[in-house]
Amino acid sequence: MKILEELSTIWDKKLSRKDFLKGCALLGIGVGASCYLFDVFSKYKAFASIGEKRGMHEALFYQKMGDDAVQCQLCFNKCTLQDGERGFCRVRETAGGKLYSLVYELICSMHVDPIEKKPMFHMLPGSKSFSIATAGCNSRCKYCQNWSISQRPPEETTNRVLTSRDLVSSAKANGCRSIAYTYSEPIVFYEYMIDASKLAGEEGIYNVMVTGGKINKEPLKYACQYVDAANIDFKGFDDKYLREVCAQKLDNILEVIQVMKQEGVWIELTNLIVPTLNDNMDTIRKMVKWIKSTVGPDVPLHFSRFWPQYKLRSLYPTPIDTLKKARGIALEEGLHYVYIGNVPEVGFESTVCPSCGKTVIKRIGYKVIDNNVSSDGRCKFCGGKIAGIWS
Amino acid sequence: MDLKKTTIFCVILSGASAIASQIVFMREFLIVFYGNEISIGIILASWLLWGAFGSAFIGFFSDRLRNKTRIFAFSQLALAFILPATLLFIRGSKSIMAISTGEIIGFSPMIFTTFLVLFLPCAIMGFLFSLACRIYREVAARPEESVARVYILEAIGALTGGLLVSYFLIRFMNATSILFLLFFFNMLASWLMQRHSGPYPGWRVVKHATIIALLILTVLFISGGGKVIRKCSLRKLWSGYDLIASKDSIYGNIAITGRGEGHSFYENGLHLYTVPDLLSAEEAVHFALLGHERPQKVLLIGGGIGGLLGEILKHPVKKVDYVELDPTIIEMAREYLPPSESSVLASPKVEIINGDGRFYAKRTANKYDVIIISLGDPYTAQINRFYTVEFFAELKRILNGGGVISFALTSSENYISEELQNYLGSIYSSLKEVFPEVLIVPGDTIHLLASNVPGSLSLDSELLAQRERERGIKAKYVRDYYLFDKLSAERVEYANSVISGKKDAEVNTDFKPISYYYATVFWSTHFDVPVIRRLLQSVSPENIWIVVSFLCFIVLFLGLLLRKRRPKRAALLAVMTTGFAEINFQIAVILSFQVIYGYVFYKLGIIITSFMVGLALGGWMIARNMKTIKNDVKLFTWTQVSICIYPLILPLVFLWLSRTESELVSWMGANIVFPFLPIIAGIIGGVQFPLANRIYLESEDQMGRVAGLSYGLDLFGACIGAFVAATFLIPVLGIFGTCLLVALINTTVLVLLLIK
Repeated sequence: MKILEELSTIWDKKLSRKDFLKGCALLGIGVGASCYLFDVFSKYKAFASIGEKRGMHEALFYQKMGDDAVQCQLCFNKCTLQDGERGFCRVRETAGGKLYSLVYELICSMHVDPIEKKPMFHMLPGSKSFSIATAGCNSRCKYCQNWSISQRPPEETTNRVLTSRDLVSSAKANGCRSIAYTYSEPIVFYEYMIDASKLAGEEGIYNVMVTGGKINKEPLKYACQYVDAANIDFKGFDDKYLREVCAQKLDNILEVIQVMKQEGVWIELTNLIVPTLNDNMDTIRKMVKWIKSTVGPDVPLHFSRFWPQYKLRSLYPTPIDTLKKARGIALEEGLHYVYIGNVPEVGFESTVCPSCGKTVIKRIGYKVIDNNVSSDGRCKFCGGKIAGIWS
Repeated sequence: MDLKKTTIFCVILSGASAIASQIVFMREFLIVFYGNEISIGIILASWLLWGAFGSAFIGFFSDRLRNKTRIFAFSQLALAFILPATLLFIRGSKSIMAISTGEIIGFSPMIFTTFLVLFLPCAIMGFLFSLACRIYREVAARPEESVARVYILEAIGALTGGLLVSYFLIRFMNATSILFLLFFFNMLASWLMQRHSGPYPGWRVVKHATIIALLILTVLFISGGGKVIRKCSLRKLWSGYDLIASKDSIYGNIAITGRGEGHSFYENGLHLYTVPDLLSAEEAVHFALLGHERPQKVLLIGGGIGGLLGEILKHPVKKVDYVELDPTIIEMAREYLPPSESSVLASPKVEIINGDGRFYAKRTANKYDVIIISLGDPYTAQINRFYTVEFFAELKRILNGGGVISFALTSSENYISEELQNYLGSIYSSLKEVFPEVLIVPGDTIHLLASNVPGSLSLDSELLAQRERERGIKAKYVRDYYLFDKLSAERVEYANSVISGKKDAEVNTDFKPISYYYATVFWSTHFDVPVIRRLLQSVSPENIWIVVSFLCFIVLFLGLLLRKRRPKRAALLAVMTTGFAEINFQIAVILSFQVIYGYVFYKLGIIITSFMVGLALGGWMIARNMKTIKNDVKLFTWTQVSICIYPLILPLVFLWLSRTESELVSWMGANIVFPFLPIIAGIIGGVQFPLANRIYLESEDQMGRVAGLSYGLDLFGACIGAFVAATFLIPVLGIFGTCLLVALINTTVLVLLLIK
């Protein structure tokens, strides 16, 4: 109010010519500067428009809801999206009443890894796997190792186009026996994975899905036709933990594991033990019991070590004792293949034949030192069956 | 005690309580939050902002209040309880925010919690200042001096409180006891003030109840209550962990947690290392030592407790010098670690040097074959000193021919984001400025290796394996079966192309410490707050200059329009910009001292203290001459001139002292020039504040309001300064650029004071 009063007294006094010009000059500079400022900051606003249409591809599983809205049917989130809205996974968007994947054939990470690193221990040991990922994920694990791609939209990552055809030929050129859809979450680049898998299958290359398993039954069953093997991150057996730390649900993971097994996909399970958050041995025992009774003792289980990552940077790495205890429980409950992943100082990476008790595949870290499983999946010492994909 | 003495006591106590609780709360907050520059900025800013709010807005009413002493006494009583309650609240805030154990806290909960928690204590303390000015006026012999006097008394209180807590109390008392001490004195002060605030119904009862409550609570606290409170609140603070011990040293808080055989060390809530953690220790040591043909003398800066010493001793080395800033870490390691882990500290080959790594590297006459820096990522200006071009050059000086240096940084194995690329790229190019040979060991943690002989380093697993065999080292991780994947040609190529391919990342220097800013931007990508991230990313020298010039123009423009009371308003504005400027000066001086001379705690204390001394001195000078000053606006204008020139001289002094070869000049710099610089800044501020009050004040009965307003503006300026100085200005503009910017802002206000 006071300022207004003063402004009016200034007005009454009438500005002198000099003052007026001075004022105008300053105002002009001010306006100019504010335009520039607006320009500077508005650059960062041009964001939702991805600009290029590359990476856009109509999604496979969604339902129309009225005129413009759609509901994604890929995972239990079932995001209902109005025109122009983005899903929880950050890589699916509605446009003109259709749902699009924004990362079709648009990768941001590509490496040639040993298959043991996925981890897949019962599949072509010692072979290389061509590993790719796009941005986005439908989980929110606070310890994600690849959070810089999984927890960011494709606009914020450095991407490149890799067509399904080029992917398959690169895999072959690099001497890889398989393609791994990994690092972030293949479920969110579902369409790309399906198309690439079809091609790869025709060329005799295996398809490996490394996933958190947050997917609905229908799209999962469809994918199982093309995917040969999967490592499912069995993040925990405690629904509260899964919801709070990972944005997942126990029921869903259990269903996914069962369906994949039924559909004939070779599955291995990974359980990352996070100290203080899911290192309860009773829960681990429950989980192991469920595995044995539902999908059988031949499904390999990898306990892996937590490292301070992403949001859980202030937590310490999983004590080795904890990992050993968990492994002990799993063996006690009768699982055949239980590993502690990539902790060579304890050395529980080798495969032991459940029939004769001899070490059939000796591994240190990711390296296969000795392989005594025949190509038809039998122990060379006793002829007992070793579950997995061996040729 | 008469009212005057009581008021003096209360004001000094307010100053001391404010600074003491600030030191303690800052430490506690950092344990809860992530200790980077932006967290520190947010805490300081909210502290000052609420102080400004209390003194300017609540203080607005101080002239109209009838029972000033009574309200003062009750406010102080409330403060006595609120301060300890705040400590408990900070410690419990993690469980209130519902975050997982070990989870780092994002921007929104951090800002929300800080502002919520600090509102009550800071607003009350700000209000007490305005009220004290008013009360003091009524009892003082020379009323016109009262604002100056209260300002001086507060400065004296802050000075004593700050020194007492950071040098003395922190060593012998834990946070709960310090807060109890504050409770005790504030209760006492309230009781003293209550004796002058009667009579009203129930006056005597309340007065006696206060002193009785104080006595009972003191007895309860001393007889074990304190321990219980400490234990419970620490359990809340570290909920989810098994806390073994928590100790405060002058440098910060060290905590050890453990479960089973593992022990984890935390410094200010940041995970330092876990023992045993073979992977990290092996990677930190073996890449560097295997990179050298015959390592004999090794320098380790930090990280000795994390298993690195043990790994170094597996090589046939003759001597390991281990420099550790905080002796508390070593004491605690000796006390709490199993002998299998702590025995290396007693090895005859190991010499432990307590002190700052930078200080040591500058002065030592020793030369080394391998130097390992294990201090973690540079998230603060303080740690950033160990990743600058100047520091690398200092290391090169103490490196033998063919020597190797190595350190680890957070990275990402499968995908390096643009923000991470900037951060790693800037440190990589800084290293490359000094060393002809730099190698990147890829991984989720990358290791940078550098050597002074081109082509002398290799990541050839064969060579590494051969040297391991020769030295009889049986590493669990750093060996063929692990390295074949980690150092695969494709992985090495990827990391190299991304990190060394970053051509536009700026190098990190002492006077333009950009890397910690890049680290902050990278840290911000952990949270899904695109607004803050984009704001951070839009900070560039051009944009800062444009925004600030634009603001200056607006101020000038408004100043030209509003002619009425222009000098008066300009003087108030000057108080704000001075508040802003001085916090920038303080940070610039402290940082420059640390890069030129190394981190010496007590000398830094002298620098901080000398600012307060200057403030009190300036206030005292003006208070004494208040009556004889005729043209206050003219004098004020001169102080404004000096605060425009001061930041222009500062960079020259820093430059001169950092380049000098002379021992004498160097000694004078550390012991005379640096302690003297803040005194001048302090004097300018100390003179300006009471003078501005006098200029602005039109009638005596508005005194409390005006004092509150100007104090509030002072704090508000400081609040903005605290937030932007260390987070944006210094890393992005550099120390010299920041000084120029401050000069520009102050000159704008000077122009307003000058135009007729």
